Order: sequence, then C-alpha cells, then structure tokens
Amino acid sequence: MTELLSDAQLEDIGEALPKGMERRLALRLLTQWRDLCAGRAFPAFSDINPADLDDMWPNCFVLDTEGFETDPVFRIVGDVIAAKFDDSLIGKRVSFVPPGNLFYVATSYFSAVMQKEAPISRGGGFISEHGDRILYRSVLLPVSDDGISISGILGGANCRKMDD
Amino acid sequence: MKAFEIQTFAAGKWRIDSVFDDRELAMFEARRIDQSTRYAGVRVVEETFDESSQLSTTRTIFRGGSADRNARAEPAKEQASGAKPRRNSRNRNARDRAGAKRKQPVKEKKKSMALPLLILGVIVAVGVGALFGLQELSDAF
Repeated sequence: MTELLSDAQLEDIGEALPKGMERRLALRLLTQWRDLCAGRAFPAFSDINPADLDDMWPNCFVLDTEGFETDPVFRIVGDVIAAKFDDSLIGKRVSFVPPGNLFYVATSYFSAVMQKEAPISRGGGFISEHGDRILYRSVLLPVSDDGISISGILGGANCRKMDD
Repeated sequence: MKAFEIQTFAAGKWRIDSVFDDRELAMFEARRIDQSTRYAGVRVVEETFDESSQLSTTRTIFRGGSADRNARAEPAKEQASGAKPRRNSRNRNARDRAGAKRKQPVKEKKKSMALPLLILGVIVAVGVGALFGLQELSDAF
C-alpha cells in the first residue's frame, strides 16, 4: 500500500555529496539522461554507460519493453537493488516483484512513461513487507534504440526507513 | 490526483520534458532548466485529474525562458528611462503584418471596380458619339 507523503521529507535521501551539488538521485539521473539525449528525443541503450552514472548506478535498473509492453523484463539491475532480492531479477518480469517493495512502487508507473514518452518521477511512502514505513523517490526514463519508439526504460530509486 | 508537467520550448514547439508528482520538485527542476538557458521557454503545467468525473483540468503555474524574460524586461526598461509606455514591438509588427494582409483585398476590390467603370465610360462615350453623329447626319440632309 502506498501513501503519498510530502517530498520535503525525502530531501535526506541521497549519497554524501559535496555541498551545493544536487543530492537527489531522481534529479541527478534526469540530468544525466538529458545529457545522453544529446539533442535527440531519447538516448539509446548503447549510450548508457555505468561509469558515467558513477555512484548512482547501484540504485539503477534497466527494463526491456520491446515486445514486453504490458509487463517489461529486467535487463540490468544495480547492486543495491539486487541485494534486496534472494534471486536475480534479470530476465524476470516486472509483475514478479511483490508489493511492499521499493521496486514494486518504482516500476508501477512504467506504462505512464510509455504513454507520455517522457521521464516521470514519483515518490512517497509505503509499508514494507516487514511493517516498516519506507520513504522513497524514483524516476523512470525512456530509452529508444531507433530514436522513435521506446524500447526500454532506465530507472533509479532509493529509499529510507522512516523513524518511529 | 495531481501531476506537474515541465514543458520546454525549442525549435518552435513545446514538448514534455518530465513529469513529477511533487510540486516543489517540479518547480525546483523548472527553475534549474530556466537558469541553464538551454531552452527558449520553460513552463510547469499542473494537471488535476478528478477521478469521480474522469475530467482533468490544467493550469500553468510557472513560466520561464529567455523569450519570456525579454518580453517582461522591455516595458520595465522603458519605464525606468522615462519614456512613454509603448506597445510591444513584436505584437505591433504582427499587427502591421496582419493589416497589410487585410489591405490586400481592398486593392483587389479597387482594381475590379475600375473595369466596369471603364466599360460604362466607353458605352456612354459611344452613345454620345452616336447621338452627335445622328444629329450631324440629320442636319446634313
């Protein structure tokens, strides 16, 4: 179950970065995505280089949507996200992810990205499977191999447990 | 349910840059885009979807971009220099262009009136000439 909370409460989410530098993963990843576009509507899969994404990469994932428009497949999963699952998510459908999980809320709006053909960021709170209240912020960014139709989604998400 | 759509203006058209569920985050990002001067225009459109009526309403909550800044700066500069407020030159030019377009049919109308007047003139001249000729003939015989 998700409950939308004020984004002001999410400001602490992020890595220890130099003062003045944007800390929020969603905005940093969006900026990186714009750079990858380089004047095109969408970047291609081949433009995504983990080295460029630096410290964000462990919190990122890539979905394949071509041929899986209604239920995309995990193509790449970052270490931080992979660690939350016993089995590898690679090759598995989005519907495989159970509710009460960061990935569940972070991928729940992939169809809106396909429809808008634009990056979408959503955040808020949800109750984890262990009953903890979790705050999260996520972003889904369209990727296209032919530059016209969306063939995948680059995503990023992070979360933290809310203090009792 | 609300969504905040950042739209950017480039190559003569608006396109969706990104969509947020959080107003503050969308406004922050729009201002950041605006400062970068990468696009001629940037705006944030708030879309409110009413699930009961299945209707959505939109309103623009932020406008930025160099074109917008220039438009706002011009009257302020003129006021500061003590000059009389002047109409926006871009709008005036647009109006002048529109006026020129409107004048075009008037010219055509004048041209189309000239021909019947000329024909009428010729008929009257021929008629007067004929009457004069007939009178001359009747005087001769």
